[in-house]
This record gives sequence, C-alpha cells and structure tokens, in this order.
Amino acid sequence: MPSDARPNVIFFMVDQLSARWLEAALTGACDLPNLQRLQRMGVTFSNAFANNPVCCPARASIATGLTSRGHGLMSNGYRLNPDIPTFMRTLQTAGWRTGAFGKVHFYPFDSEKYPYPDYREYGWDVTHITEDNRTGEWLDWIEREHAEHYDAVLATPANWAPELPYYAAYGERKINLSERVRQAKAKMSWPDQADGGLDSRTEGFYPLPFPEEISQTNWITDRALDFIDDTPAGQPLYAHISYVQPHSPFHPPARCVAQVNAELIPDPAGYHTEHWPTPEQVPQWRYMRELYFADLIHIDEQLGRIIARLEQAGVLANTFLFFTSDHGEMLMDHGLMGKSSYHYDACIRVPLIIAGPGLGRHGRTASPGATDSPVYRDSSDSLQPAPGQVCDLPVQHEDLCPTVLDVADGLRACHPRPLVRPWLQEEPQLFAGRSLMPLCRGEQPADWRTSVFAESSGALCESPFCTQLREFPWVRTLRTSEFRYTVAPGRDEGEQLFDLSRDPDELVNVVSDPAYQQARAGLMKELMHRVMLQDYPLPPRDLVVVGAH
Amino acid sequence: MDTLRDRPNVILFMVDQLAAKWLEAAHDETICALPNLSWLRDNGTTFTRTFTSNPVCSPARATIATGLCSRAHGLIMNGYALNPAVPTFMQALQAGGWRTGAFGKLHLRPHFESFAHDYRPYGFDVVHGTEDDRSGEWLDWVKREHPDQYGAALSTAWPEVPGFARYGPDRVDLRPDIHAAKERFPPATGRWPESSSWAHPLPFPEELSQSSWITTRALDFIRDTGPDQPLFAHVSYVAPHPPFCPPAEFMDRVERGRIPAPVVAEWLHDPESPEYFRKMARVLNNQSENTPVWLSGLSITRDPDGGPARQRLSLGHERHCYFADIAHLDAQLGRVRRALEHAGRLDDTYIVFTSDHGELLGDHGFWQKQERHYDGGIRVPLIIAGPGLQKNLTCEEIVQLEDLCPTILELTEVPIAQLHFRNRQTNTDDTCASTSGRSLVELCRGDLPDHWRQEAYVESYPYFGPETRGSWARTVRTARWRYTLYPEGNGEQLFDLEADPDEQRNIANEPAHADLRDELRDRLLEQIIRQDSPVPPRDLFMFGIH
Repeated sequence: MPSDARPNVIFFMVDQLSARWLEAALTGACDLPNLQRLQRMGVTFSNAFANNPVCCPARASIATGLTSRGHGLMSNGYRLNPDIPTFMRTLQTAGWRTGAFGKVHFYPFDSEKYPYPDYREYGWDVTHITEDNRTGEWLDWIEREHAEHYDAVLATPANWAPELPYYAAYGERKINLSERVRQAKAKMSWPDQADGGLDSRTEGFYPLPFPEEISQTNWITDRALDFIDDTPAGQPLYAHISYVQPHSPFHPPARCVAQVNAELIPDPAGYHTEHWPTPEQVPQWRYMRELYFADLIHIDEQLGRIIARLEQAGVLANTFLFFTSDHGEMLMDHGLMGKSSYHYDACIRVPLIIAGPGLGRHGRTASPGATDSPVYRDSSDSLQPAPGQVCDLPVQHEDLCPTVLDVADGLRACHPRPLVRPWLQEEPQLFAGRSLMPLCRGEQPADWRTSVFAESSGALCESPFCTQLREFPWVRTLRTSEFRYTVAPGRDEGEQLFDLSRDPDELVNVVSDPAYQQARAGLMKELMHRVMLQDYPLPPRDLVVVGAH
Repeated sequence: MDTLRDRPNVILFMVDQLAAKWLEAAHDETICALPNLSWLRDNGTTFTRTFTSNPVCSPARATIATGLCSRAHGLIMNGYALNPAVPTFMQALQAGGWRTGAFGKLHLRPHFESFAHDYRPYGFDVVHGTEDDRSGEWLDWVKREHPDQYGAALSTAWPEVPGFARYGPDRVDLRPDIHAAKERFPPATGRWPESSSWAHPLPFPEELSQSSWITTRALDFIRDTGPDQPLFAHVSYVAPHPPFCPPAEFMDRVERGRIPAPVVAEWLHDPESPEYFRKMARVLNNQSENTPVWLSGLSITRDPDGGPARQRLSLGHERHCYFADIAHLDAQLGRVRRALEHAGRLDDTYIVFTSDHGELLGDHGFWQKQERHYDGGIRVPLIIAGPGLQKNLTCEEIVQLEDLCPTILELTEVPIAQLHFRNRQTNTDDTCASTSGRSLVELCRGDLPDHWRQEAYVESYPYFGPETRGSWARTVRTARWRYTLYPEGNGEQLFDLEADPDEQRNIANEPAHADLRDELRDRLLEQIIRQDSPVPPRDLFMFGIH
C-alpha cells in the first residue's frame, strides 16, 4: 500500500471546551492563529454535540462510534469494556503506529487502575498518560527533573483529587500525597483575584504557579512530538493528543492571561436576569472567565507546535487532523459551572474541526462575502486570515469513529463485527454514528439527521450554585435548528423548551406557552424515538450472536 | 444455626412460553384438568396482571435472575450472554447457605454459543441442563439408557444450532443423523394426520420426555440435599415452547372441542393498523410457501391465486398439542410436590410458578411473542405459595418479572445486592439497591404497599422481520389500556381492554381518544427513560465519581 493511501491521523483533543467559547475567542477575545489555520485546512462543524456531556461517556462514544447505551458508560464511574471495538484498535490492526498522550479517561480515577493506568488494551502501542488527577508519569517527571517546582505542582490538583484512594499511599515509596497536597495548597500564596481551589464552590482558578515549559499541557505535547519523531518513515501514525485543559481548575500561564482581550468576552447568558446568582456567590467570576480563555491561547500554541513538527517531517499534506472536546463548560452561563445535566448550549455543543488531504475545497464559506478559499495551503500563507469551510448539519461524537475509519480505503472492513446468524440477510450496522467524510467533502446527504440527542444519567453535578437539577440529573434532550427540548422524568418542572431562533441564550422556557404546544408535541414524539433507538445498533458487550437463540 | 423454618426452601417452577391467557382458558373452559396448579392456586396468591418486560427467552430469564430490566442486565435480545458479574438472587442464596440447583432450561447464554454452558457462575451448585435444541445431558441420557429410543429422541433436535456440527467430547457432526431421524420419524402419523414439525405428539414414551427427565433430576436434588440445609431448585421446562410436542398419551387429556378459536387478525383489514404490521403482510407476500413458521411468526397464508392474505383459523391440532403439554407440566408439578412432601419439606417451601413470556398461538394471525404486544404475548402466569402467605388469594395489581428476585430474597431474608456510589451531597461513600423490581411479599399477604405501580412497561428489540428498527416495540399497559409505539413512524396501537379484551379495535388514531393517547405516550417516554435507573451494573466501578 503506498504511504499516501494510509494517511496519518492526529486526534487533537481538549477537555471541557464549548463551541460557544471557542467562537467567542475567535471573534476577538483571543488570538488563536493555529486553530484558525486548522479551520482553513478543513471543515468546521458549527453544530457538533456531545451525546452525553461528561468525560468518560463522551470519550467512549468518540472511540467506539456508539451511544452511551451502546458502549455502556452511562456516566462517569464506568469502565469501557476493552472487548468493544475502537477505532484505535482498528488503526493498530491495519498497521498504524498508535499513541495516546495526556488524558484518555476510559475508567474512573477511583478505580484500581490508577495512578498508572495502562490504556494500551484499547489499541495504543505507546501511551504517556496524565489526567485530571494530576499524578502518574508527569508528576513523577516533575519530581525527578524539576524538584524545585514539585510543591507548586502539588498545589494544583482539584480538591476531589487528594481524596482518591491511591493518594494515601502513592507510588513505590507509598508517600501520603493527600497530606503533601494539603500542605502545598496551604503554603501557596495566590494572586489577589485568584481562587486557589481552597474554596469548595469551584475547582480553582489562578495563573500557573510554575513555568509553562513544565506544565502538564506542554509535557503532553512533548511526548507527542517524540512519538512523531520516533515513528519510522513509511509507517502511518495515529497520535491521540489529549489535554486536560481548559477543564477546571483553570490555570493558564500568566503570559497568556495578559493576552486575553477581556472586554470582548461576552456576558454570560442570563446575566442581569433572575437566573443570575447573587454577586457574593462568585465575586471573581469575570477573572475566572479570563483565565479560561487564556488557556485557549496556550492550547492553540500546542497545536502550532504539532503542525510545525508535521511540516518539518514533510507529512502534513498526508495527515488528517481532528480537533474536538468531550463536552462544554457552562462558565457561568445561567449562573452555572460545569456540565452534565445542564443541557444548555455551553454544555452540549462542542467544537469540531476536521482537516486533511482533499478537504476544505467544497461547501460554503464561514461568513458572507468571504472568498472561496482553497483550504489546503502550505505554511507560507497560513498567517492570512481567511475563513475555512463550515458545515452546519447536526453531528455527534458517535460520528467520529466511522469518520476516522474513512480516512483510508479498507479500514472499515478491518473493524470487528458481531457473529450473525447465517440466514439473516442484513449486514449488521456497526455504529450509531455516520461518517462525516461526505460532509467534509461538501456533500449534503438528503437523509442526514435533522436533530441531535443528548442524555445525562449521572449523579455528577458540579455546580456550586444550582441545586435544582442536582435532584434529577436523569435528563434527555432533543436539539433541532429551532428548538432545544429537554425532559427529566418524574418532574414536571424538569421539562424545558427553548425557541433558539428567538432566544438563542435559552432564557425563556416556553414549555407551558400555548403557542408552542404543537411544537412541543412534535419534539416529544421525536425525542421518544431517539431515546428508543439509543440501543441501535445492538450494543456489542456480551453479544455472542445477532438474531439467534 | 437457624432452623430450616427460618431458612425456607424455594422452588422456582418455570415453564416456557405459557401465556396467562391459556392457563386461564384451560381452567375456565375446562379444556384440561390441572389438579396440581389448582392446588397451588388454592394455597397461594395468583397474580392476574403479571407482565414480562421483554417477551423473549433470554432477556426475561435474566430479568428474573437479576431483578433488573433488559437495559440494566444487558440482554436486550436473545443472542446476548448474561455477564456473571451482574448479581443474581441465586448467588445471594448460595452465599447465604442454600444448596442451589438448576434443572432444564436456563438460557442465560445463547444456544448458538455452546451446548455445554457452565451455568455455575450464576449461583448454582448443581446444574443439569437441556434446552430448546434438545441436546445435552438429556439426549446423552436417552442414548445411554434407552438406545432403542435414541433415534426418535434425535428426531426432535434443532439441527440448525451450530453445536450439532461438533457435538460432544468427540466433536461428532450429528446433523446427518438428525436429518435421517427426522425422515424415519415423520411428524404426521395415522393417529395424528394433522401433525407437522411445528406440532406433533412425541414419537417416544412419556418417561423419556425432556420434561420428565428435568423433573427427575430435580427430584434427585431434593432427595440428596441434607435435611439441615435449605434448598433452591430452579425447575425449568422447555415446554410448551414450540414445536408443540407433548407425550402422546396427554393428547387424550384435552377436550379439543372446548378450545377457543383464534382471535381475529384485526390489523389485516384495518387501514389504521400500524405501518409495521402492514409491512409484515407485504413481506409475507414475498415469502415462499416454504418459509418455516418459526421464521415468519405468522399464522397467515397467502392466497395461492394471488388474492389477499388470509388468517389460518383451523388451529385445532396445534392448540390441542399446546394444551396437552400444559397438562403434562401440571403432572410434573405434582411430582415435585410429592417429592417435597416425602422429604418433609413441603411446609417450609415457597413455590413460585411462572413463565418467561406468552405465546399468541395463532391469535391475531401470529405465532410466538416478541414485538407483538398482545395480551397472549406479554401477560404471564404467576402464582406464589408458601408458609405465612395468604391462601387462595387473587391479586390484580400490576407486577413484572423484575419483582421476582426481590420477592425471593425477601422471603428468604437474604440481602439484595447494592450499588456503590459517591454521595456528593454528603461527600461519603453510599449504597443503593440495584434492582428495578419490588418485592411482592406484602401483596402475597393481602396488603397493598404504598405507591404501587400503575402501569407495566414492555419492550422488544427483535433482529428479525421486515424492518429491524421499526419493530422495536415499546408498550405501557395499565389495568385498562394497552398502548404500544413502533418507532420511526411505524405506528401505534391503543386498546381498551375493558371494553375490548380481544384487542380488536385499535383506537390510537381516533380523535375522541387523542388526549388519552397523548397521556399514555407521555407515560411511555417516562418509563423508557426510567429503564436506565438504577444505573446498569455491568462495567460499573462506582457511580457519581470522576
């Protein structure tokens, strides 16, 4: 197989970044030249959604192309069963060199797999893992190579992390890391506006208290660059480069904070309405948001480093790049923080950019009046701001696995399929999602879905402000181009209907408005069908044979 | 040590594919005498509104074992294997000191996987299995002990199950022998000329029947259990699952003339019937005459001259065989009862009688069960009798097969499995019950627990038929109404079971009932979402954590 027939795949992933905030950043709040370049190199999906907006389920959907029901991770707390086929495993089987760098989160941090999880069983040849719990390889590297910053690093885990079981006796020396973290946090002197995470209402926000060169974010990029360098010429590579930022705690390098145009960050949805919490609840919320946006600048620079290395190696023209996030962050929209059951735009709509050979030449441009841009360019003109292609069809995380398997002919045939009873004529469907490759090429399939589905089935509600939804986090949502409709069973007050065309900030719940009853009935019926078909195709766990006794 | 009375025995006496409707007909129309089931009814509580939540074998059986709905235990369909890490009541009894045994059909794993399933990890000390394919220990026993009848026994096997291609320790291809046996023992005989491979009396003596063999293994187990140890026996028959093959002498115990005629296939001529049903009729028109009945599931025939499809209404022989099997099963219950008496255990034993799902038996033009959620498919018999419970009680509350696991555990006072989670309100580790069902013990004592359910939920995920996804039926069944939705525009059914017990008039599209339909649709959505609560235990480490 000629090398062109097996392109490289870079999965560049961030954690807890809403499409809403990336769009705000790109309209002026931050300078993100590398993400803009990526947009020009490919297609930006303006209606991409998480089907289950919390870390583990969303990441499992990306890896497997299945719904939460299909892969089994209804919420955080589950382990992804390694018997379920993933695109990583299939790329590996087909000859790609596969690596994961940073956050994978296919099982809970509380589990016995930590602090040194081995994610190779899911289809990676090489892994260098560091996640929200801020332990493992990166922390050990700090202790070994940068001991003078070890305590500053230990001041940064979120407050829940030191309560993890393994923190009490960490590593070979069985040190009490919980105690060490408590001491480090107490010793730290935070800047005036910062909340060092000592306040239980948030997970903390402050400028990085140690050099950015040794930050978790940079370390993840460094490991990915080594992997790119070490992959033999002629072998295709797939690198899963996955950052913990901008997940809370928000702690970008101070340099990046100074680069944010804070006045261009839009006010939160619901600001100055009755939805807004009283000022004393988060007095520093504006500063907190600046830090979140500053993290995007840092992340963008990492993307620049990766692209530059691919260019140096002469393989960029034969590389597919995927940029996405597992879910969003409310970031004080409606006075809320976090994600999970709050199915507002900031929670469920995620960024998605797909760039690669042959993409970006079709479709329509991002803004009226812009010239059609030949998207795949070399670096010489990369600083020219020009919009890339935008696809506004509704897409979901489940679409990514079949899309990755479409980067080369024959890959999909390598994906394992269930045993089927011989007389069943039908080829079993393998994915809940559909490949986005036709959309990337500018096609608009007539039978494409017209709505997206999102669900939450968990007890993980992180908001310090809103206790209302905490009691019934079992929510199911249908979002169309016009409406967002959400039900929480058993609670009449849990039903939400927003007319997005008139109320894009989702401030007025019209579920009881007589004028919307017809729309509500139609949405309810469609939601029911989507809920019913979350089990389609048949979930692969413990499935022996399709259609037999 | 507790006395045996504190740790009572439990017999789960289960049959396969018996609708509550047919047991009621046998009794009310005096089609056949069922003295042992009458005895059980007189001594316990008969639940007249018991519903299977997924009317097909493996999902319903996993629900009984775990107390979980299909979504939670993972078997949404035949073809899945129950993960042994999901807690079962059998494991709980075993851990509590009960001697546990399984006899006959378990079907917690697919027949297509193996004939030699090891079911012990699900909580059984002793297993003697034989299932629908008519293989395994029973067949080997006939060959060993009654070689002259082996060919006849082999003629009842299902050769399409892959294990027959490499059968037993010697991995022999038994399929040619099975086909030859079927030639030697054709179903139609001089006495029963109407017989077919779908319904015929057994070509060998009753004592060798699979049902009788299952009972004998259970009796050995009861006899061999030490007097100080409580026992749990899952005595589980393949009958009256089709093919309908009762021992020949039980054919004479049925008053054929009293068997009702099939209920009319109302959908065949109703323009308002669900689109899914009309698709089935179209598929029928494309099928060859030779499509096996177990595949089509239809008791409707094409007009050979190209006219409209017609329902088969002359099902006397098939129904005759089915009722003869019920009479035979009643006799098996009698043997178990006498064995308990003989062992001195009868007064300390709870007996639970039920079935995994129903059988339409030609009603509405259908055989079998699956996604046709008519009364004969989804409503199953349930009788619970034993020490301290009311005698001769009828309970009309809505119960589901999920309720059996918590019921058995309450009767035996064995704790139920718990799910662990991090309670983020109190920041402590916490637990909650991991069952979807509720114990029926209060109902068996004549009391009504608070907030008892007002509706049953039934779902199907068949992977056959004209349109896989369109057939994924979802139903809410209240005391009076049955509302069913077929997804993706495949239609709805709404029947008033008080005015129309035979489900002949679909009122889902009648304007006068639009509000009712909308309300039931709302309740259905809520039920569907609630299927995921409590959270499914497979691959769950702990919930409510990062």
